[in-house]
Amino acid sequence: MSPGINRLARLPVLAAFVAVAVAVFVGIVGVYPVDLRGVSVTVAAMSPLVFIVPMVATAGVFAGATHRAMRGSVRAAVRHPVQAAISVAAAQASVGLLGVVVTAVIVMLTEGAWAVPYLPLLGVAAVNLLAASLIGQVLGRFVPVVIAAPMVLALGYGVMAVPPAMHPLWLRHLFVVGDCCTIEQTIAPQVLVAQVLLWTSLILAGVAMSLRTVPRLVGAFAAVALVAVGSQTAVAQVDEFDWSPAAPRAGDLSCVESDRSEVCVWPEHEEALPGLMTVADRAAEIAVERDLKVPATYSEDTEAGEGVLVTMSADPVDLAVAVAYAIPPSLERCASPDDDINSAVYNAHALLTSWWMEQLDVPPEFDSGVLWAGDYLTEGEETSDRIRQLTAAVETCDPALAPPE
Amino acid sequence: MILWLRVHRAAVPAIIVAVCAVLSGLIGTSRLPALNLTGHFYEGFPIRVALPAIAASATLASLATFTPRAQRAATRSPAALETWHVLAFIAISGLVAESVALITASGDLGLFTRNLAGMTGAGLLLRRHFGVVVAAIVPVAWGIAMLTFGNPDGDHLMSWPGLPSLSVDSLLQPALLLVAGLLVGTGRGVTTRSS
Repeated sequence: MSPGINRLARLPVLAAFVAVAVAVFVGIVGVYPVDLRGVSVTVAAMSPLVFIVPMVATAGVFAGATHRAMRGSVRAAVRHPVQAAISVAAAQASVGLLGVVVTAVIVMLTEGAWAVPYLPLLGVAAVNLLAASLIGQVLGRFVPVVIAAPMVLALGYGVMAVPPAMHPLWLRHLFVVGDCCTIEQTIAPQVLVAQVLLWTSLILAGVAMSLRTVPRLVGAFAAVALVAVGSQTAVAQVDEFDWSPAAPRAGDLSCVESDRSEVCVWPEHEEALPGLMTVADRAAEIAVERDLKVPATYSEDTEAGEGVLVTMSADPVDLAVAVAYAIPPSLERCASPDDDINSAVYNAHALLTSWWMEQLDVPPEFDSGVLWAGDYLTEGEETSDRIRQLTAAVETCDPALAPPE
Repeated sequence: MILWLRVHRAAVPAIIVAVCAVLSGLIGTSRLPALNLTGHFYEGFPIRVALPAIAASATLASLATFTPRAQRAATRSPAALETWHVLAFIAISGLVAESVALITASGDLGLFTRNLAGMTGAGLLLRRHFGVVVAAIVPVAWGIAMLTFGNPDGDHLMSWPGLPSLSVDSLLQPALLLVAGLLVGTGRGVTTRSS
């Protein structure tokens, strides 16, 4: 046994490589959460796993090779091989998981927001890393390390990087959660269950191959059977999924109500509620003065259809922009099957948004369309009539009602 | 004779290299979908980058095969023996890969041999100080870094395995790596055995 192999099986060496992977990901690729909820931050923080999993698996190979070299020694006889393998796997998985947690902390520091990481996802990552280490150890015990180490490194990267880009689409959710979720979504439990089943079957396969009392051929057969059953069960969980691993978010919206309107946001945006209510009331006042239509309810739940809010921060200007975007009718209904929207109708929507921004005192630099909207809406006809006409154009998706391009 | 004894002992790495060579000739130009981390491989990464990395690892792994003490003693120059060993692996597998590519007219002639030579050289550079296992990991690690961060349209050093043409740059860099690797990573004083 080369002393180099002993060194490579050590945790500080693995930790150094994991740290490099995290640094490379944060520095070069960039880790950007969809929003600042715990689930989104955790999904983003999982992205270095594409490097960390192969590293942990390779470290497992070195540990397995060390076990093999110690075979027959007194020290090796004292501990049960399964116990030894699991304790090494737990230590290596912890180092890998620490990389994910550190990435999450870096993301939170850069975004300036703190959230509790999504624990079920961290649990899946832990199971994933345990499986990687155990499979690496098994290969390290049975295959010469000089062949097993590069092979496991390549396979680990292949498993983490290739299926998430492949067809069929459900294959993308079997190994890693790469991209999730918009604010009204969370990760579908089936995706987490499928991944746990798959990785657990690999862990059990590794244990079966590590049992000293079981003949090697029987162990190998049991391992293959376990992985076959585990992967089939996992596939059954996700085979109806498309691109997205998301499911509608459970939980109640926080709402406030006034005489004129109601505003509902997800709990993490509660601090924006008073500001949003003020802007919504102001919009309702303008609507009454000019005999215009505005939503009675503004909500962050996109299933609501009308008055959909996208709250970025509690800054008063951001809140006014959010309400201005929520007032015009949704353009989604005007989209063709190819997602094309008639440009005249699109312009009508942009004009409405710009006008409402101006009315809600959004500074002009926040919207380049404000001047254009002002010019068009003050030409000729009375402004309120034009607003009503633009609203009708978007409501009916009728380009004839929209302004000439 | 000694060379043959060494090569035939390295049966498993030789089989891996042969399979990679044949596959490279047959499907080297097709692409494997992968996470688009830096936006350079929009259509997935080319197999011609992945297969030579694996073949280079196997070539380096073949250096770790057991050599009887009598053979080593009979070898006047271990460096020359190992140099011929590496060159034989590269030449024979390159010949196989390019022949298959020529027969199937799949294009990209010379890429497998070029990448195999360069990545083997890169591994050999680290062999003297870090041992043959680390050396065997280097080509795969380079391949992963290339697939994740490399820009096949760029001109930085790490990108040559992804370059599609037989340009001077893309030939010079792997050739230099191989020569440097053979000079530094073969002969006495290097770790030849993994366990």
